[in-house]
Amino acid sequence: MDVILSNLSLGLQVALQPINIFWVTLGGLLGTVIGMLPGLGPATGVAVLLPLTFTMGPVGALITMAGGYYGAMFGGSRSSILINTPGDGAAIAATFDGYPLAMKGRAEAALAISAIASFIGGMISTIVMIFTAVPVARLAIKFGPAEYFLLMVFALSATAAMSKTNVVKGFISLFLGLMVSTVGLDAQSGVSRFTFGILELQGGIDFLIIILGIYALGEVFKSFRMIHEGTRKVQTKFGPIWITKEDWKRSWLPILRSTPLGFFVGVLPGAGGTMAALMAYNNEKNLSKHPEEFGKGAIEGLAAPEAANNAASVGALIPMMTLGIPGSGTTAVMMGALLMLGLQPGPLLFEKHPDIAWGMIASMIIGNVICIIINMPLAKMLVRVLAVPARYLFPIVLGLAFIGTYAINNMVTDLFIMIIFGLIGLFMEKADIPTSPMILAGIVGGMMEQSFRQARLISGGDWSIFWGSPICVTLILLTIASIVWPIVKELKRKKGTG
Amino acid sequence: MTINTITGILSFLIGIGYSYMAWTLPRATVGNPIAPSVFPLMLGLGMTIMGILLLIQEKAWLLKKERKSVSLTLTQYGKSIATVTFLCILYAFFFERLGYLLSTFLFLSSVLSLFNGKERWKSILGVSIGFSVGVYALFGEVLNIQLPRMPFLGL
Repeated sequence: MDVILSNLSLGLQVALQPINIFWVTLGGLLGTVIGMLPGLGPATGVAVLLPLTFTMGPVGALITMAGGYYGAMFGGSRSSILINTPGDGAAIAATFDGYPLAMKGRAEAALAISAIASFIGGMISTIVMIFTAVPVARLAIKFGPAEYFLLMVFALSATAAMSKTNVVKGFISLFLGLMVSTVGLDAQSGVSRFTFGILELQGGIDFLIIILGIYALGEVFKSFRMIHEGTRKVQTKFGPIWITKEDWKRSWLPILRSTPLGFFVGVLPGAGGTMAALMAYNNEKNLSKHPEEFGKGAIEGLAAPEAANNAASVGALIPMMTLGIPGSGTTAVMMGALLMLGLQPGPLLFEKHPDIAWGMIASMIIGNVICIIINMPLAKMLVRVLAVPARYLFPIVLGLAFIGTYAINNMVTDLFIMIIFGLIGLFMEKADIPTSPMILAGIVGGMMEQSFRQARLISGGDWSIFWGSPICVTLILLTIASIVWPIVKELKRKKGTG
Repeated sequence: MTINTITGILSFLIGIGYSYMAWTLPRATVGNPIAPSVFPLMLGLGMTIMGILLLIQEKAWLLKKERKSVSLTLTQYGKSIATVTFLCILYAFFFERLGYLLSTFLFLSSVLSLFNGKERWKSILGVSIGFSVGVYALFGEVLNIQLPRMPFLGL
């Protein structure tokens, strides 16, 4: 307990420095605005924020990106409520009851309860994170290379298997990402691999470029349909953004129930905010005495998924920070940025750079407070950005993707690589192949191969090291379960309907 | 041919090609000579298997119901995506040659006029100039990153 308090006070010292308060406010504000804009989710938001963070130093960069991340979670539901278009995947559930509420003339209450639920969900989860981060990191330090390799196998196959379309396609995406991570000079032997004789590829393909290609360029390509839409009509005149006592009575329990649910779903690799929000919504609908009101503007139907998706976004930070294994697209982007700044997220981050790790966690407490201010009193002003038509917005995102890519290495070759990955992202969208397994695989691929080779080196080439310890066996069983479970579920569903 | 068949064939070919490249990699001079190839070979094998599995799945589904096959004619969206991709390639090509300010202005104004039509030229000009000058100044002055200058004016 004392250790946690001293860690937290160290973190607060960092987070309360005026410059860091400024960064978290900037991140939260930009994140909220980007999260609001349909077609631009948190991953894209963090990706286009990247170049801004290059000169901030690791603490500032991490705090700004984390602010952008949960700011986007707050903001995503603004557009769900007001224009019935989710700002990101996790805000889909907010359209179910949020938009009907707004139609009933209760937009103020809808905006308020979603911000309050997000705040409570985020805050409770941050507190849980404060208590769990160190034990998880300590456990991870005990892992040898074989265990670490299998942990990554589990995280990746769970992500691939949970993709909503087709398990095989999830794995295709996964292998593609791992293949990309093998391009470049092999660090141990100096052998040049898969570079096709191109000198610029010897250093490997920087993963941030792929992320910008897939998330910024690819998202714009995917959203071309929206470009020819006219200007959206957005409600800009509001009464006070607040809820009634009756609203609160109906919502507080669903919020408290959905927070732990969202948090656990967030910690699991691959599941993420969208699934957390949908699960919380269905859960509340099942528990409700008035399930018929759901979908027609039940306030608890908005509160529950909002609390769950913010809780999930905090939960998703735990595996990234403590194990160095991101569980979602957005946390992968953040990890890519950390690696670029010369920091290796993982168990040692808490030992070597406690100021950075705890500074970020403490800043999340402050960030949540800032985000609720941005999203309640200031919401009236901010929702005006929803009136910006896509035909202006998307060219600007393209411009940001180019400058972000160029700023990484100051190389024009990177711009071409980004365009190629933008097109790959578009093809994957057309073929219904999920992109997040590829992003995650690409970012952990290098480490995964290193662990694999270290393990084989230790055992002298004996493969049995991969099932030689209880942790290994557990991880193998988890991996198998994560692949088999969705297949069985799918088969059952098919049997049920057919 | 459906998009899944195409994906299956592509994955299969990528898997085979990648495995071949992994196998023919130069042997390492230190340590185990095939160490750099082992992990890639596993990936290549995995990808090949996934390609085959997808093809089998697709075949099994095809027996049950007709599936829409991919048409090769470009839709309106396809055309604008192709045009924007072409503009992106041009932009990348001229990024350093023309300098950031000019290449960005030209790129943005052409993409914006593609989406907005020429009659909105005032806002198109405003956004393109505002963005290119704004980003150039932000990077040069605030972040101290010098973006490519224009060759003749030195801007």
